[in-house]
Amino acid sequence: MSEVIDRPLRDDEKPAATRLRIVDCDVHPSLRSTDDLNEFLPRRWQQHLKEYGSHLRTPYLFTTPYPRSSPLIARRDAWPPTGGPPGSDLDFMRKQHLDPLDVEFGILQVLDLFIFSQQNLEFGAAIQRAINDWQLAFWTHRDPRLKASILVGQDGTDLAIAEIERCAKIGEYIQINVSPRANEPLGRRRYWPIYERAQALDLPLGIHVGGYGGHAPTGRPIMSRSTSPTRTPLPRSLRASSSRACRSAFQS
Amino acid sequence: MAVTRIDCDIHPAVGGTRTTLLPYLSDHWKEQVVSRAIDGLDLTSYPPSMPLSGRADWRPANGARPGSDLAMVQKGAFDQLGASHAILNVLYGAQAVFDAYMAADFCKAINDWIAAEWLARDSRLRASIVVPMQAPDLAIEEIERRAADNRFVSILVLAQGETLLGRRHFWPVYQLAEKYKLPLAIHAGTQYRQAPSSAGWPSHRYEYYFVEAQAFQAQILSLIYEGVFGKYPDLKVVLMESGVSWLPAFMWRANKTWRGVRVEVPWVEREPASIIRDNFRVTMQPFDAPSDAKSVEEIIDQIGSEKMFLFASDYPHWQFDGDDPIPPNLPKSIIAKMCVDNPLETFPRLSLN
Repeated sequence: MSEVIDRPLRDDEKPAATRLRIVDCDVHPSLRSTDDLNEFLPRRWQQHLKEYGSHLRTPYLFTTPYPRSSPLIARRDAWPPTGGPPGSDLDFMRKQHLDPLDVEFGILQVLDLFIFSQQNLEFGAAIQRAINDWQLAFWTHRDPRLKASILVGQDGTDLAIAEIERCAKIGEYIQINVSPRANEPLGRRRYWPIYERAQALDLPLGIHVGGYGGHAPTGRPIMSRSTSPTRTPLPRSLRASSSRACRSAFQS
Repeated sequence: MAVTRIDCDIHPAVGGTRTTLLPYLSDHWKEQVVSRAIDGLDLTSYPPSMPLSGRADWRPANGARPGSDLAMVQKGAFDQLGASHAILNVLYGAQAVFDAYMAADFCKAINDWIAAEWLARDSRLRASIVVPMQAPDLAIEEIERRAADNRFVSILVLAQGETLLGRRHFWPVYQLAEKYKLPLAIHAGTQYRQAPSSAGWPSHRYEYYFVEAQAFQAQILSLIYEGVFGKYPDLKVVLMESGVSWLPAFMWRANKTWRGVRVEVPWVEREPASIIRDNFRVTMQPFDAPSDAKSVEEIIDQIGSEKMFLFASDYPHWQFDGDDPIPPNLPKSIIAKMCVDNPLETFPRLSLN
């Protein structure tokens, strides 16, 4: 942990007259293990997760095809003393991040299990739903600074709509997260029903880097390392942005 | 060991890069796999917990990967299923790494591990050389490294790689394969570079497993039509865990289209089916045949070469129940050939001593 984060205010330093408000739009909570999902996941899909695991368009089951430069792409000091993976311990997240940086709101972006890239759409929908419930039970209900995202896989469009409607009724989510790499580019008309719901519900669309779209991330040709300079993480026109809906959620 | 019976396809399991392979990695990659936690390169094709990946009675009680324990493999493949010799084919992600340097070192480590912890401990075992086909020059280095060790009897590649296997940049590998009498063993599995089906991405595991037959068909055509066997007539190619009973229809159609449009590939001077019978071999689990003896006989007859069939149990993959790994209703003459004569002819480096 850096010196700046830990250093207390000296006596001659006074708090600023106006507070710098911080909304962290990209905070990653992690499962301690997939067992965390059991209470939100029907037994049939618990068993599927255990036996078959993820079905993604990538050669490996338990790592990415571009092994990262640090374990789980995390800062070395982000591993909680309680033993889980980085981002899995709310108390440690508070102590290390939310409190010292005075984060007013943190928007959760769940990347575990690459859940919006699952090829088995019914399985994907089941774990998306479980993850959406888990965000509330494990995170936002325990710390009101944290805000949950509705994670859906847009290729199961009907399933995605149903999940958006379900979460919208709960009313605690502040954006809809879809995969940056689906079967087709995000502008294709097959995905428009999702955008129609997003607009009607005044929820922005979050598109976080990641996911497996079944194509080389460079377009062509296939790169050898994740640090290759040609890597374009996202279509520029489709970046996530905050909206009136976001702001109203923060103000409530 | 009363009867000679050579099992051409069994699968030992790599536990992980930071465990099983660590002692065999170069210093650079030893440091890298630890500091970057590079591990878990189990292939999407074979989730260890998936029923197909390990029959229940061949799974270690401690939950380790099926095929990871030498004593269990010996008990299953030799004592229970009756093999006298067996060829180890490692299916781990080294062949699928994008980074060719990493792939080459992981492949080398796998081969060193197989030599030290499997081949050295049981003289009945043989192995395929795992090679980084991502970089044919590095694959060649690895083949040269093993060439003096006759316990390595073939070269293992996945059915679905970055490009079709007939492409000319792979030919130096085949030149060496022919020179050292190492057949090219194409095993089911994919690097997941493209959709595993030619029509798109399937949703389900078994859908994927089923459509792998398409990949084998594409590889056969690629190797023939690109002219590989004109250049390397003694090269043998073994289709492993490909299924067998789709061959007749495929061979008929390959012949028919070749007859019609062979002007496009004038260097292919014989019917594809005839090249398949001479240069290709196929392991017999899974076989995928109807349950009656007459149909099985017809399929064998239609394939048209008793030399093509190689006995394999595919241990520990769950292809059958019970203790008999030989598909039912096979003619007796086939059984005798596929267990001994054909493997010895296909894998010339394989001596029984």
